[in-house]
Amino acid sequence: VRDASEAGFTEFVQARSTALLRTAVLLAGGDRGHAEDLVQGVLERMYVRWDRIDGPPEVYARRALTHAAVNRWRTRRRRPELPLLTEDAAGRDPATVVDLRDALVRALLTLPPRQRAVLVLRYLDDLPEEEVARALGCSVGTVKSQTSRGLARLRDRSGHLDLSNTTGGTR
Amino acid sequence: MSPALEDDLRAALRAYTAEVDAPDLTGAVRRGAARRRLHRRLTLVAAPILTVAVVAAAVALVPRLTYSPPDYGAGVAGLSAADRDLLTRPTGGDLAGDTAYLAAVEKAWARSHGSSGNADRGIFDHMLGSPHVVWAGPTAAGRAAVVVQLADLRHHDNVQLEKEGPALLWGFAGPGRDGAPKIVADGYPVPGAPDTEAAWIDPGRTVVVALDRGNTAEEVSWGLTFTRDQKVARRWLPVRWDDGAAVLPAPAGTRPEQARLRFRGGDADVGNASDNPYPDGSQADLRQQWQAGDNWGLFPVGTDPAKAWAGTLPDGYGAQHVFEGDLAGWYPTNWPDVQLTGTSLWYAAGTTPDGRRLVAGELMLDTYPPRVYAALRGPGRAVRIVSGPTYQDQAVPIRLELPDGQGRLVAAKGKTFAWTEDGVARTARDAALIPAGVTDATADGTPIPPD
Repeated sequence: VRDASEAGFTEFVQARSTALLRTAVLLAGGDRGHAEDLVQGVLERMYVRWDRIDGPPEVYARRALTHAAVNRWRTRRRRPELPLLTEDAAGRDPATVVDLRDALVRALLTLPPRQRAVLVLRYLDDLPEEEVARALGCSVGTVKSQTSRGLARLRDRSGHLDLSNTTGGTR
Repeated sequence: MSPALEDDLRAALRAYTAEVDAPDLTGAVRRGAARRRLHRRLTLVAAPILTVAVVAAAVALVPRLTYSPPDYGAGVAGLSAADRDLLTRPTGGDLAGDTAYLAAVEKAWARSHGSSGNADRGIFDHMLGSPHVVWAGPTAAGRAAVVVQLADLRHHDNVQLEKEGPALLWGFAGPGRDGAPKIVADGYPVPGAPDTEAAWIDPGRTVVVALDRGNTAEEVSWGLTFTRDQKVARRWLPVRWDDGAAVLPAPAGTRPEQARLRFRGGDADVGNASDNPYPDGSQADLRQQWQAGDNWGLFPVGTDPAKAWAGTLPDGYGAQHVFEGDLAGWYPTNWPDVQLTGTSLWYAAGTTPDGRRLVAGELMLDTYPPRVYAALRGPGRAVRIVSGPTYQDQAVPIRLELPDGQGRLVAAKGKTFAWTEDGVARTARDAALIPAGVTDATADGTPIPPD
């Protein structure tokens, strides 16, 4: 990695690490340590081949990140675990927005990795279906069906109700 | 699907990750990249398929038929004292006097550059002086040698250097066809990489030869040891050096990628083991039970609530978190040397006859074959972990005897288990906890083999 490339890579890491890590945390089921490993691993591979990456680095990074996260085995370097989520929601009004969002995320983290990745890329990263398909190496049709199934599961598992009806304190 | 759900999900994901900020990863990434380069730098040299013309050219480059000492000295600036010493000291090892062999090593070294995995890095483009065999000796796998030579390393779009200029290259020679020396690995200084170089010198990966470049490896470990009480650790053995090299015969059954050398300040693997078992992040070559596409497998153990064997967990997805939670406290104290874990796509969950919560799944530790692990936790009791092998090619690949007479966990996706308990016929699909003492258990009508 030459000087100019080095600067470009450093700029990319500094500018995009947080966004990649946020995506990775969800892809990794809420495991922050695993997510950091994923992001670092992706960036290491990008560093080695920085001058030979075709297209926007972010696209490459997201594809590599998704690939690593949804692979068959979920590997991770051993490090202390962070809690997946707030463990105890007892005592809180289940009708609050916070609790319902919490339930949605909890439900999301129980989804199969690929299905979860579809929803994360669609609704956290706001990628169009075509880009999600490229990142996952599947068809747009698969993205559509996985999105639909994933949302259905989220509704079932979170007991989702329309939050817009809860903000005023009524359901 | 309602837009409200999509909007809520979008907001929920952003709220959940809003406080996630990445640390400065640039330093860690560079160090990690250097380690990745190390894998490639000390890489297995492909079996050379040379044309007659190439062979003739190589022979012409190395016309000497007998070994002669190097024609350069210690006057090269920028080299470490250890590397200068390697260039100038007399050949060590029991084959130091075998001039024909030493000359053959030099010849093999010169011929190997074109087929080296490092060739496209340009490290062989500007060789300096002549090669020098620093060590040559017999091993259990055949004759081996270490050869070094200076090269003028220059910036290249595929190489990471500390600086341009003269640097030491090295190669490991092992037994080739008909016992002739063959360069099996080569290397060059990489920033951040340890000054310990080692290579498997034979195709069977039975012997490691290590070269002392100034940070001498003190111990070697051949892999993880799995004990009956489920502890996993490395056993470190002292390394004996002789004339600047160490010959390390590996015990039978060693997984080459698991061998590690420990030196001052760290440890390193043997660069040409099989390299990263997950090439370029891919893990597709690893075997796992019940690859289920998009879905996690779920095999609730038992079906009869009256026997308290029905799953006490809401579903298999919850089981995943319970399993990982039960094992989370296990890693630091019992698996201190495990670097990577591969976790299961399936889980069995339920309750044991004595009322403990049972969660089971597969785990792969480092690159070892997956094993089935079960976590048993009773009220007020510490978690008990048991494990056993998986039988990937058999009809019932999961068969794990639980402790304290709690029965036998079996699992096979799509199969129906049947057994008789207290005179009552029982069945379960996908997974079952067969009571202790039951002898008539079957899977799809076929008796389940003993372990």
